[in-house]
Amino acid sequence: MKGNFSGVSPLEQEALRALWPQKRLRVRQIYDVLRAKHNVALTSVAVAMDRLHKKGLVERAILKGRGGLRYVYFPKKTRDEYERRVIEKSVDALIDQFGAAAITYFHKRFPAKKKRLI
Amino acid sequence: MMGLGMQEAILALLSWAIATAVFLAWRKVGWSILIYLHLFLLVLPAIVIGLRLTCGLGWYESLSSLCTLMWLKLILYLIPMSLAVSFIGGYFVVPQLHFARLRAKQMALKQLDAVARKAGNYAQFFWFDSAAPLAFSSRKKVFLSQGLFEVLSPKELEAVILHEMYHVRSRGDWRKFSLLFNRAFSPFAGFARSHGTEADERAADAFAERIQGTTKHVRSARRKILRFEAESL
Repeated sequence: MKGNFSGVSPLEQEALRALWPQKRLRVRQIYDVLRAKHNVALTSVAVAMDRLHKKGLVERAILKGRGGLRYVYFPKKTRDEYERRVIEKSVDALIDQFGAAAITYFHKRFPAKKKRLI
Repeated sequence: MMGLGMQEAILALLSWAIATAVFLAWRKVGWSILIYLHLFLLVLPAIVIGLRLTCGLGWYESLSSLCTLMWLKLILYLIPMSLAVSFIGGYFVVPQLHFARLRAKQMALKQLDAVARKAGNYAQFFWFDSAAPLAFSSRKKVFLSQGLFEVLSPKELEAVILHEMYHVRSRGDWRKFSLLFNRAFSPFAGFARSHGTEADERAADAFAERIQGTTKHVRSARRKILRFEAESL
């Protein structure tokens, strides 16, 4: 079963995944990407982007365009940086909680994976 | 607290019981003046105890005493004074503090002026940076958050602006801000702000629906705004 260790909701994760390739998108553009795959409301996407902004994962600027002002969002970290940070926090949390038992577990699991990667 | 005892305790309980009854009456009839009376009744025991301590008088002393007269005049003035302070606080002070915190900027868009003309009234429009879809008015100013432009369609936005233009016309905003000011003095005033303005809100919705000729846009705008609030919790 896949768990969520990132501190963001599934919708927020999807919004980030939509944003990373494009690097800057408006709320409505993110909504257009997401609704192709999920049944999601524009309001929910707006809430998700606002939450990501409050969590410091995206930046927000105001763009003047046809029909007035619009928010445009930029990811603050690349996908790799973000994933590395999530993994670091998750592993640190496991070690804090389980100490030596967690380290022993990683040693037992990773040697096999290390061989395959090499 | 020399000389204070049962009589003052009874007065306090009686005054607060009447204050509660006044508050319940306000819930029934919705007259804002009752909230100000409620506030006065909450502080009345303190006034009387001050009278007793300062003038050293019993309950049955002559009314011709100078100290008593002074305090009685103060009590009589307190009702209009509390009204005046609430009005000044609500009409001038609270809105200015509120708008300064928002850092709102005036905006000039032809579409907004067109909506104001439909409402048959004039207002200045201000924009503020908030992802939440918020709108409110004060005097002849209408404040719109960026969040409104993000989530509402043009017709829904028009419905919201027409709703606010109704408040500009009816000048109901001073009551809202006045009650907000009173919250500093009475927790019950917080209920006043949410309940007493419901009739105003319904009338504003009806106004927007009448201008647009349909209830559709007002309802869908309200649904989106409530959904944003619910999902933001």
